[in-house]
Amino acid sequence: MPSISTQLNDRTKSKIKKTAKKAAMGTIKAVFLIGFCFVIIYPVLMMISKAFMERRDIFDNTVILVLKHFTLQNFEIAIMLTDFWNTLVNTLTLSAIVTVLETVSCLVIAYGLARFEFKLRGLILGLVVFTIIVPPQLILTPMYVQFSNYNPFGIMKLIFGGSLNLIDTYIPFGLLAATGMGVKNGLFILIFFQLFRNMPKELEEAAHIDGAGSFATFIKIMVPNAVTSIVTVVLFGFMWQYNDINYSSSFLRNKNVFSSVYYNLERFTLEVYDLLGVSQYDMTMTMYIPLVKSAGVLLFLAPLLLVFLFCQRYFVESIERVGIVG
Amino acid sequence: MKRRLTLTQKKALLGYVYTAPWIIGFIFLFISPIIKTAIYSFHSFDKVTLEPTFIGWTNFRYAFTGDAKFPQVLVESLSNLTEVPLILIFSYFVAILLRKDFPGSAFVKMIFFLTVILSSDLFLRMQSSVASVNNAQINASMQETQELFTALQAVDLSKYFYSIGVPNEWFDFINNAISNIFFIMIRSGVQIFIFLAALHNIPSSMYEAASMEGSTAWETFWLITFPMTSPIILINCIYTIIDSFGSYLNPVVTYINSIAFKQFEFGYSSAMSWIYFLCIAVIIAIIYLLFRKKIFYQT
Repeated sequence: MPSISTQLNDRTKSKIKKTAKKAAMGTIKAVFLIGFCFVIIYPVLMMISKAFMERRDIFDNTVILVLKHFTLQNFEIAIMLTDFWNTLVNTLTLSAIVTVLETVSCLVIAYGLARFEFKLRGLILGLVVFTIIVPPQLILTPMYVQFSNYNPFGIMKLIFGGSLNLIDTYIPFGLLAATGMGVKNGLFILIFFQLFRNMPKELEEAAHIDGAGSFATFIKIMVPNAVTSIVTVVLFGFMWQYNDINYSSSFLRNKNVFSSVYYNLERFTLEVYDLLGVSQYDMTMTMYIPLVKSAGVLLFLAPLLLVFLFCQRYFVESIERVGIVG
Repeated sequence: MKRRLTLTQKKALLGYVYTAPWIIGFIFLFISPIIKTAIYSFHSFDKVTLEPTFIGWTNFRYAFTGDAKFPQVLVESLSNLTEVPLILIFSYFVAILLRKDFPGSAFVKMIFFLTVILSSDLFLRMQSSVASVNNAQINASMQETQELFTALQAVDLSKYFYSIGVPNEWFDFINNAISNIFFIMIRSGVQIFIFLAALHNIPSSMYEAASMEGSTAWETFWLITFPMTSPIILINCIYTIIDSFGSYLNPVVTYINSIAFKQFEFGYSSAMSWIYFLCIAVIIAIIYLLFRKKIFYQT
């Protein structure tokens, strides 16, 4: 018969083993996560450091991340080259209009698909997935032609006495967003669809008995219950429109948004050479371009980063709960 | 007098009313442009008057036999697909690491969420040019350092792998993955959070039952976690493919856009878009059909 002391010993041994195992796993996990976080953060830090770097530090190899000379001149040049304030206003207005329209339209469409039985429902759901798969290049060219000479059913001709040129306006974006055809809108419809699908039928029936029509049910019951998903969709919609190049480069030819002025950052104008007091044929200026680019991209991303910092907690939690699970 | 609709008919009608915006948009802003692209692809356009003339299959034939660049960029963009499994494995791995809360997990999640913003084409375009600034910095002054740098960077991993008998092609794949780790990580932001949501949705009673039966962590993973998340793996796989095909950094996309909107060769660019779309559709269909049967659906 084993003595009590050996039994105890065994128990403590297994306990120690367990804690050791846990600690080892924890350490491995920490090493991985810290490593990953470093790889993600490092280029961002590099970008910030470059954005504030002075020109003479480019050739100083002892300068890595921590700067010897600090300057705001890069930002000044980036602002000058990209017509920053106008571009900012344009980008924010466009993104705001599109986000509001597409959130509302996707909510309505998803409500129709999720809560009503009708013949074409299955087909429409399949086609929503299809709209996600099709690359925008397939539809952009005819759309450009169509919008540059906009005259559906001859209506415009009746009203305005000729077809309209909608290129360089926000109307094409508005039309696309309002009909659930904008950037990745199929995905948003699926997110809302999943949510509305899972809501209990009793809620709707109770509202119906209380005399609420389908639209009142939608406004008073469905929308308030979808707040987390709405926040997710609003933030993603805003971000994807803000970053979009495909649509904005084809519909906005002379109007600047951030995604279209990127290449201005490497085309130095005469004013820049004057400002820096260097000759136009100075070869070292090609090495100066990345600094201006860093400053410019940092400026472009700044609004997004600010929104992100303010909402990140809410954002991360909500997306974890929403998912596209099903 | 009008016949009154039954409740079911009424509901069906309301369903059409709510989806009407989508149906209108789909017909006028989606299907009709796609059909027009198909028609354009058989025409050639006058650059000034934009008058179309019918030229049959010439555009398609030119894409493969006359144009030297198109097949090249097409193959290049298709070979980018080798990154899809890497992105999936990486994001799944990170999601599993982040599944349980630990001190500082909110901060780590925040950093991973940052990738969703950083994966914007703007930032990625700049990153690809940052590599050149590093070279410029090095070239400018210290040639020796550069040699040391490249020597250290490779650590002659390739020689090492070669000596233990790993075929060169395999090594290229691994080497590529290592040098692209940043781009792989940055493109897996959304996927990580989709996987996390899926992991949270597995009922905890399953894990409790498994631990009662004495299953190890390894068995639990392969018998519960993996099958339960398999539908999401397929969704994420397709999402990753679409994301990489639609990205502006994709060489085909850049090429098609430059042909369409800089040279105004609408006919040829339409033909290329159709070829490109058919490639994507075939790839997604193959993946869907291959993995559909392997997926476990809880009933």
